[in-house]
Amino acid sequence: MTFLTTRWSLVMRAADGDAGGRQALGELCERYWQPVYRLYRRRGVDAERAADLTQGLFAHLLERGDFARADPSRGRFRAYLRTCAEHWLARQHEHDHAHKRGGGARLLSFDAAGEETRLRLEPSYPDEPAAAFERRWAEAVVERARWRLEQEERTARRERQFTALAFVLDGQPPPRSWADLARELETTEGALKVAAHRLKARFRDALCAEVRDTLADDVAPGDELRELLAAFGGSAAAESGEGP
Amino acid sequence: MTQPRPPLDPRPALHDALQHQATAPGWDAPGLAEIAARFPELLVEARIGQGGMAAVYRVVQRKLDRHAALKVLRPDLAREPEFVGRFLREAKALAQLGHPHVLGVYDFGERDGLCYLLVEYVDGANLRELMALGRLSPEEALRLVPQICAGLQFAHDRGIVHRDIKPENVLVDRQGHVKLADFGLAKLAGGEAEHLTRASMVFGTPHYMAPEQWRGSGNVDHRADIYSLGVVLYELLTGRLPVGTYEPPSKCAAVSDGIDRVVHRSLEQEPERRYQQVRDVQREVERAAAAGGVSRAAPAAPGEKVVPCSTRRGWVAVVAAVLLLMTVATGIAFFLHKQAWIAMRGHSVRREVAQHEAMLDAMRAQVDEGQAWTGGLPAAIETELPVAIARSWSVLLPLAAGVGAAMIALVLLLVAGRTARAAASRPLGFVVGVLAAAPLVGAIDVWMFALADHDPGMTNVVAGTVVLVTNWVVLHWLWQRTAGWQPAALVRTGATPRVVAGVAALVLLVAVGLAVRIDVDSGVKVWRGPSLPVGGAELLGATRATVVERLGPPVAIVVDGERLHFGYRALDGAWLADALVLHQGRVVQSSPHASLLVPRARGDGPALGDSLAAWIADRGAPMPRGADETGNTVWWADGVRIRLHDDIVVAIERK
Repeated sequence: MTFLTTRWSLVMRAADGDAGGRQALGELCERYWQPVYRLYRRRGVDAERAADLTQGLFAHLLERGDFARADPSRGRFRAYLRTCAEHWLARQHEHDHAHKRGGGARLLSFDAAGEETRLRLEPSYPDEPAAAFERRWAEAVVERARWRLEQEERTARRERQFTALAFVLDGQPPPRSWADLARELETTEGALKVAAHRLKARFRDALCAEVRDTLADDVAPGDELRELLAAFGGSAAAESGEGP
Repeated sequence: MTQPRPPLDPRPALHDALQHQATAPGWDAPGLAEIAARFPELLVEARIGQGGMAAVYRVVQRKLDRHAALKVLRPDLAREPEFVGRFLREAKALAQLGHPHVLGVYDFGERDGLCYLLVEYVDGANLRELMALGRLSPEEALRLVPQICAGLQFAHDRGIVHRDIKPENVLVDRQGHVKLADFGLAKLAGGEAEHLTRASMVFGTPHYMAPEQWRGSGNVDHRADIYSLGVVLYELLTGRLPVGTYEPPSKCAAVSDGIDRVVHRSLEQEPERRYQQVRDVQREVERAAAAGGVSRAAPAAPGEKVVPCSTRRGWVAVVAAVLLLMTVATGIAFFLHKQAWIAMRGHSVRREVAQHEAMLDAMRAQVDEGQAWTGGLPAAIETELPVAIARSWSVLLPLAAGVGAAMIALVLLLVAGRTARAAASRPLGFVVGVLAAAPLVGAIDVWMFALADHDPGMTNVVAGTVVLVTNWVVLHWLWQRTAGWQPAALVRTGATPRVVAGVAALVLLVAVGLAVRIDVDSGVKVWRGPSLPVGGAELLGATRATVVERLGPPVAIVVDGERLHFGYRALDGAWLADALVLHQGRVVQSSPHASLLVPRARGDGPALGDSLAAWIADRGAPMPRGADETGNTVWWADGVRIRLHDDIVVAIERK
């Protein structure tokens, strides 16, 4: 597994105009458009324009093709994308309304309405848009890993079990006793727990794979995980620190 | 892409993943590429585990297109010359073991200094991982254990001892079937106990090892596995290891005491005293499980973590029990002692009060006739107890209270015993038992102390000893009545029930003793000011007892309406010219220059002088009479000069 090349390293290694690199970047963008959208919204951009900006940014990135020059944040797609997104916003302000770059092009199909709903549900943190970006990123990573796991389970016709065992993925205790759950699913407690353990392990693996895909080969996934967690810890500390 | 789920908190997942990133290998296991290079016939997918002795990789056998687990032993082991030979011999024996509950060995060998075993791949989890998801229900534990037994017995029958039975080595597949892994590998780590110990330490815990493995006596046989099996059984049921004087499993899991016996016998220190065959363990476990081995007690609550039963709550229970016992016992002691004290004083107080009243009646009669009282003086009543209380509260009250306490204790005791017999309610039984102990012990203690107070023949030491012994007997007996349940925290200290009951008795003795002392002090010694002056004004508010203590008994009592006036002699021997008016035993008024020594009749002034003269004459003293410079009449009597103004005594001085 370690000798598989990650998507982000593919992007970085790609020569200008390389189709493989562009495809890899396209995939990554498709996975992580929400943090960018969230960043713009938190920067006070309205919903429609945030969607346009996001589209425009991705169109620009894919079009430009000089991915690897995104220093100093080479190692992490997350950092690269955030820097690009900030620059893009600044630049768009400069040419404000002069010409909506990429405004018409819809490269990605994304659910901006759903994202708006989420934004409303989210408690309004008094923190920086950058932190909102990081947090949304962490959510996207976990959600994607989970979504992939769910697809796999669906393919293996274990949806019912997946639904019943989803609590282990949230780090929650079972809603009923294991024995009761096992009876419901017509299996033994041991077998159910084995399934739960395997599910958790696979979730872990999927999450690590997901994270690794956004990193250069030489960046340890552990460091990235730690940074993603810090986005939450840091903001919590800031909240309590700023309180009266 | 649409997100199928509502926002969730990603932290647990990130944290979990991070923790697994952090598992540091104790040695440098070969990388996937290295393994792939050495085993071209295998497709190496991932490293799935690493312990102190070996690393495990998930592989696919290309030819058979079958998943397998490749176990590679630590390379430095293979450097010992005789190791490879021993490994190959052992592995060959293992490869013969074909049993549904033993992990199958597909292949083994040594390749470029790497000893490896290619074994069955189990898409499952080990018991440790299962326990991490929450304690297994007893039903499930008792379903799994016989499978372990079956696999073990099969190997034992072929002369193979596992030597390292522990939850990590018991795998469970997706169907819930047990597969025993790592047969005999511990032995390969060295053969001698020293090596074995070291290897086990590396693995994490030596708790699963039989004592003979520890001691390195060299006679380690299949019965060591039975010991380890006992540890695993215990841990599965209770969530913790049987260390020291461990609690029987039935005390904290819903299993019958048949299982207690299995565990106990498996964990015997001497192999001779254990089960001699695993199939005996299996039979007993199956019998206990079938014969309602799993009792009616509540199943593990949903979401229960792997908190060992009653460990976390142990100290809370101990502290709560001690506080409860002390509070209730001392509260009862305080109340009962007060009653006993009143009752025991009551008798003498009533007698004194009767004497006083008779005397006062006589005085009243004389005073009404305008005569001085000549009949002597009553002794002081030594108590400040309100007369009304002394009259109405009898000795029956504390007696009734004591009997009541004993009755409550008895009822609680019955409840406690009944509750304790239900396996799941033992902690409750314990609490009710403590509640029962409190009134019983409190009542006994207070009577002993009251006796010590009252009876000069009974010293505090004697009373204390009696109380201590009684407490100990009562507590110990109660404990046994409530099925001997005790918090695990206590169990771990290794203290026997006798010792624990002894300590509790001592604590109670001190608590009740203190309560009683405080009670007595607060009842008697109210005055805690600086040394008393002789003047009556400073005595305002003092109790009768204080006045008596400081000034001696009254030398005169004068009835004034409903009040009693008492005359006192000052401490320095001079006459006190103050009249202290006491109401319900407390000084409420001090009148300087009042005529104390003579009854004060209304109206007839001259007669007063006469009655005073008569009064003094009655005492047998000469009565020279004169007048001082301010015109006061002066009497001399008994070495004392008495000045009167308008027939009222204004001063009394020593000559």
